Amino acid sequence: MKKGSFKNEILEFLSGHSAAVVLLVLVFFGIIHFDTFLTRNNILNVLRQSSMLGVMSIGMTFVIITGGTDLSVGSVFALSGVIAAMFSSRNIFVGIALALFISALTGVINGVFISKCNVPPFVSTLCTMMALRGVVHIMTDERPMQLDKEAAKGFYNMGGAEFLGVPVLVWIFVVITILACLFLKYAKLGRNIYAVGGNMEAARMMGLNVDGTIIAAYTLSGILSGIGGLMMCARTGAAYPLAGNGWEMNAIAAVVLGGTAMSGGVGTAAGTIVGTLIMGCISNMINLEGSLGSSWQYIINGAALLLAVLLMQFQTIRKKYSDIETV
Amino acid sequence: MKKKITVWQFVSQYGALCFLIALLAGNAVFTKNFISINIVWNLITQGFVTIVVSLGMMLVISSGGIDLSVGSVMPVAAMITAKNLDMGILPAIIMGLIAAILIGCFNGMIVAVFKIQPFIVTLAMYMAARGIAQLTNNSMVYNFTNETFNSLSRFRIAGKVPVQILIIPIFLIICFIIVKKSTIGRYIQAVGDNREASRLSGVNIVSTIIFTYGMCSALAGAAGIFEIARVGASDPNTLGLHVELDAIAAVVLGGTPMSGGKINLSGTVFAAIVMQLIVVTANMNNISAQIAYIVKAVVILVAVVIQRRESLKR
Repeated sequence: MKKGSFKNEILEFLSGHSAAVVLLVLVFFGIIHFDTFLTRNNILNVLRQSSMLGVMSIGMTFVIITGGTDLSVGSVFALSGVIAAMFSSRNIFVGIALALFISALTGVINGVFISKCNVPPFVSTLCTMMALRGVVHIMTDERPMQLDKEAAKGFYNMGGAEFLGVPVLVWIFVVITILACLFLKYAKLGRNIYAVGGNMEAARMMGLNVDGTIIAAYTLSGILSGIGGLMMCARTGAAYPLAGNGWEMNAIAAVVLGGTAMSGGVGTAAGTIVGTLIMGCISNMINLEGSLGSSWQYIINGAALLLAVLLMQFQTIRKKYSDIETV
Repeated sequence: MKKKITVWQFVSQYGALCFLIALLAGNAVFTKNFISINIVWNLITQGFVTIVVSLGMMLVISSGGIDLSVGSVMPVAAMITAKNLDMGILPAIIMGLIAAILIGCFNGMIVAVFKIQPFIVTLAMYMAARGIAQLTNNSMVYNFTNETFNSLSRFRIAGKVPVQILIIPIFLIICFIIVKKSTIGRYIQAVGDNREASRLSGVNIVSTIIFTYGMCSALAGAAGIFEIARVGASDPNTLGLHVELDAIAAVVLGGTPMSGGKINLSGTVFAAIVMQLIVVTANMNNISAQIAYIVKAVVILVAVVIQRRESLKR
């Protein structure tokens, strides 16, 4: 009897942390298969590359927990980089502030359309996505916009700098992750986000400010994508008109890989980070392998996403059955 | 007794048509050389992909789902067709279409049997199918020369009228029959409206959903095949990129609600034409295509806000 329950416990743990298990398996595979995988450089590389998508995905987590989606993140990402690059020759701080303000404003607009006008999240954020991408192309004239590396020296250096042996970009990513975890767990607004996503009507009847919560979630998503865009701009020293193009899909995939349900109400920021790292590891290993083209990355990412969701679905179905049995 | 229809209700019902008329009128006044028959032909050849893909998307959305994978199904079907043109045109096209249908049925099966959200299933397929399409030719453009195949999209009746004017009605009629004249159309809307209720009343949900996604993919595949016939080359990297967004926007603008359960066939077609007309208008007035993007976004948002307002009032 005891043995069986132990086995069950392990199974329960595994299915509850399926994303982490997948990541561990990936890392294990990487260590065995590639000599260079466990080197300091490579690990920092994975982390640095994942940091921008990671920051964006955390914002996406908030939105998906409310039961929506945010397609505009990729365009906000590009726009905030462009604004920073534009202002870099005059005053980079103004540029950063303005970039974050515009990013937040986009989120507010999305949130207002979704909560006050009942526009489906997909449509509203699709529109801001198209419109902002257009704005980015007009502002950059469809050419990369260089950062003024003299005037904005500190900002540009930040992109390559290291602190305690770890890139600053990764530090930003880590700090934001921790803040997001704490926010979702302890902050009132964080709890409200779960309540709204779990059951909007119930939340409304309990007297929660549903509209305000939704607007806040989209605003946070906008700000975090803006921060991601600034990180990218600092790292590459330029703002590209096509930056972040298609990243909204990657961010959604990372969030879902991390165990957040698209139907809302369930999910964690930590899970999202695991999801981002899974995608980062996959692309890193494909690079290390060398013989597989980037097309395999698409296929493997897609397969991993589908597999993860199927696993989660089986888990919930099993739980349902075991509940029925115990009742 | 005749029901009174307010202006807003009319706009929300026939929003796409209103936009189309307004755009045409505005163009007739402001755009030079707009009133010419060539414009119509251009609209039809360039809008072909959006129209055909939107029709399939309309079916999926009215079943309460969404299909993000259409833009990646297009190059899969197109590449398979292009690579097998030596076998003869018809077998090649059939192979391409079968590949598309298989992808769609796979989507539908996962959605219906495992009850996983369509958004995620088709998102996974959106990534995977793009990779598969690229694998078929190592991410390189595949050029081919086959006059007969090209004429599928390039042929001009009497040297003037593009052949698409005959092809689009075929797709329209197929969709019209599905939506209005067949039981499957009723089933699709019933499932979209209330899945549980339709299951209890004996609708086979699994086969209905598989049919819906299969049909959507088949239409997307057909669009891809006709598109490469027009271009004369198949590019697995860019063919069909972002088509899903245009198609979803057209469906919503056309008055089919994202929540499912309703179909507006004519609205979808008008809306797809509106999307193309905005781009053409920008082109003809020397406005950059980027502003056309912004205009598109505003048009969709306004239309949806009006629709939601009216449906809430009811």
